[in-house]
Amino acid sequence: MQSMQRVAVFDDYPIGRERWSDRIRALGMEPFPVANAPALDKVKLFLITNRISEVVSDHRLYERPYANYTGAELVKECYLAKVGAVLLTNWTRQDADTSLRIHRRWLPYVIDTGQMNAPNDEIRVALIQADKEARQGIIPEKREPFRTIMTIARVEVQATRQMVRVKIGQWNPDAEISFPLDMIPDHMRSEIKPDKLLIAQVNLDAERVEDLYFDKFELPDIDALRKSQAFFDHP
Amino acid sequence: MDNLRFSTTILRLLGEELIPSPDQGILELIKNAYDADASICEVELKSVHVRGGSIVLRDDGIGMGPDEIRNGWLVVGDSLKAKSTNSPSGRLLVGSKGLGRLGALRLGRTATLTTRPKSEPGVQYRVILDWNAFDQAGVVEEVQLNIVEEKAEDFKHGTDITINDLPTAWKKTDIKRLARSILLLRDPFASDTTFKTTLKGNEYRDLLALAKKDYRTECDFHLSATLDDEGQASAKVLSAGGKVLFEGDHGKIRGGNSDTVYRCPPATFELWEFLLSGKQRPFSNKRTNTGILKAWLQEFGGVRIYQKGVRIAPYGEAKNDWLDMNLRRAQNPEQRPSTNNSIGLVLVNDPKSILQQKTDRIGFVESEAFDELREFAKDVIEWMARERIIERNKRLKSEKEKVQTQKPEIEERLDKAIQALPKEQRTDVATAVKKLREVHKVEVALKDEVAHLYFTLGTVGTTAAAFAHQTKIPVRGILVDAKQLLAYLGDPNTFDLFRDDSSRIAERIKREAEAIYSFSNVTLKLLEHEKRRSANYSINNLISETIELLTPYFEARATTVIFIPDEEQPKVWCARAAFEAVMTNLLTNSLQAFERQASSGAVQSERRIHLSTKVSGDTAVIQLMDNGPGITDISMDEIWLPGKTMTEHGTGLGLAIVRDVVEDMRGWIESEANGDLGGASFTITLPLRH
Repeated sequence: MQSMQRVAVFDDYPIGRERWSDRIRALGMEPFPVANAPALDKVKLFLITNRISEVVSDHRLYERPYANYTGAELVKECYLAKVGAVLLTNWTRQDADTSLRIHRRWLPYVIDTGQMNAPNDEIRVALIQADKEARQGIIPEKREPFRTIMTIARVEVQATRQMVRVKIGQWNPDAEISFPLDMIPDHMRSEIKPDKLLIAQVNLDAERVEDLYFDKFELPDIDALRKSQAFFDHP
Repeated sequence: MDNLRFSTTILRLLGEELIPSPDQGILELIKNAYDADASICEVELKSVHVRGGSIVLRDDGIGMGPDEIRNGWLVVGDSLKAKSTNSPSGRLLVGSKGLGRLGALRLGRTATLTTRPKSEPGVQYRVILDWNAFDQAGVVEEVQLNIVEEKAEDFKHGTDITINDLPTAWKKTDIKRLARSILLLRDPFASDTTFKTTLKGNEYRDLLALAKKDYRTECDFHLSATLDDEGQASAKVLSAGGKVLFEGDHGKIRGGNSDTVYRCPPATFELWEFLLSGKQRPFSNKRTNTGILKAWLQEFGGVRIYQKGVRIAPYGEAKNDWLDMNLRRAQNPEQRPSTNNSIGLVLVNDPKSILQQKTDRIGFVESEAFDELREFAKDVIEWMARERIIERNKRLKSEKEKVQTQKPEIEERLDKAIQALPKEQRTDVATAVKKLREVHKVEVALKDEVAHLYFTLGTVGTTAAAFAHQTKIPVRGILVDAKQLLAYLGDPNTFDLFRDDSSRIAERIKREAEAIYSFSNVTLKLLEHEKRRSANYSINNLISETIELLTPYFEARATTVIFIPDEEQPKVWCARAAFEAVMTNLLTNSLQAFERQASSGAVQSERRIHLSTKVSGDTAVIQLMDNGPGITDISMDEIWLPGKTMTEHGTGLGLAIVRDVVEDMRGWIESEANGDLGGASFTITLPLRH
């Protein structure tokens, strides 16, 4: 007999754990509400020992003393362990450019709880898609990465973070997209200045700005740039 | 043997399309005069307001012989100057590729060069460029040019260039732009007389007259910064009278990051800022009327760059805010200059030309060196703003203290003066003064109440922002549950299947609604009108009430608050709303610090906040400390500045409100980055009221 799918539920808010467990149960799966979150480096072990097949997690897990990581970090750990995980958040707008953007590459499905209409159905769809991407490696069009060149519009300090604002002509030439400077490898940061170019893997088919991810940053080839510059200076 | 040949179209492309405006081309010709060691370069516009006009440039430089004309002046895209860095007299050369010269010469249908070399007195050489001949030829090499030797009309060496038969008429705005460009080509306020440029005509005369009225001595702040050849910055700010107000070293300018140097050529940056609004400077000692100053700033305002003594456009033009001064002022208007109220110069010597100009002569190539130069100027402005805000706060505090000290003395003198009056007048005056004091008291009380209202509103705002999720989470939860319930109810066939689920949903909605009710009470209680009246209050009671008020938040965040009150029941004179604003902001900060610590990956022990009161002489001392991460990533001076925050979504208003309220209560507040519990610690001292 095939055992019931067991879905771990992470939320620092106890009523939240109860709510998402009810949704999982209504889908015919077994909820596994996690009252004591494991350390981030023990997540993989936790998933194996508790025979977890999928995960749903709230994003801000630190408001109450619960976990010293965000739901996005947890979902990334699950993704790397090939376990599909769905992120739920009440804070899409506030966190989109910061704590969500950093890990967006490994967040197969993010649900904005304020936008849910039929919760059971939406969680079902999200779990299927997360499982496909993380376990089976099937990436939907909207999340497929393309090597993309972008222009740095500016670097600015927002409260406590340094943020980079870029324009991606291939996505929307008029929009500025923001992400934290610390996503870019250390050795490249001194080159991150207004009007300079930057290359990264970006999911250009994403419809919404909050779904865009940035991965594998590169600086453009300086020699090639110099050659093109020289062409304009000495035509 | 064959050669690569160029179509004459290339001359049009290079000359007209690469140099976007006529004034840039003429400036290049003036730079040539400078490089030829001229002491003066005169530009004359003849009938340019109609088609067919001409432009004449005359200089008294060293002139050119036939070889220099042939191998330098007539070569486009390269220059003899490129091979050396100094003129014969030692000036650093400022012209370059010769494209600007081509652009200028092509402004008319013909251009004539007449040059009298210093080395051959009495001889002059003439070359005429007839562009019609080029237009009719297929390739550039087909047009023959003759360098004609003539007897010079006078023995003065120098070069004249006449651009004839302009195909289009110049507008007044074109002439004015050229006049401005010529005037600003060298620092118009510098006393250097080794090279002068003039433009014959009213436009230039008027501008020159305006520039001569150098109002910089009437500025309110003069920023003077230096970047040495090691990349180390230093700066000072002087007052209107030349007194040094602030001095900053490299570390202060870099905002604490003193290990990183600026990787660009040495430079100086001078900025003169004028406070133009009456409110900013009510007792201004300016001799000049604000309207005149504004007009002067409109013409000469902005921060320009001079490389080797010659201006690099477009930095400092009306719409060129290359230091983002206006953007930063819009984001944080306090104590910052804008391009409309200041005038500045960045002077870079740069003998090796590390900063390269773009081919179209509009700005520098965006290289690392230029980015770093810009960073230096921006950092210096930012440092000045920080220093001025700190100074402003100190001044306000001392003014408040001065008034508080003077008031009793003045009242005593007034009472003595009344007593000294003849008896018949004394009663009338005493009654009138008593009445006046009563009215004044009411007026002050009303103002206090308004101030407390704003403190309270500020606190409600910061509290609401900090705890928004406390209500948002249950509200969102109710929304999710309600939508699921509706989905079940919409399909009667499945409803029975989910009857148990539906009951649990309804029960949860009830519980969450109750939680929202208790949270919403907090902000409403903070706004109670009665709390804005000042009276003698026991601070033990006020602290206990605030803790009780915020208990739902502490419970929701599993935070233990321990309060150890002094047994003497210290009392202070204050409005309850003001005191609550102080305590609420500090407690909110602790809760946010716990979240910040957890989200950064640190392992947390039990969250604790300790509060205590103690009587010390004539003062009551309140201490609040927590076991959070402490004050990090911000200097201890800056924590009180509005807008400065350690929290990602913080407003940066909380501690600014706390400091203002405590000072309003005639007390003071001190902070420690890491107190006895490991986290931030705040100590408030307030005068006791028995």
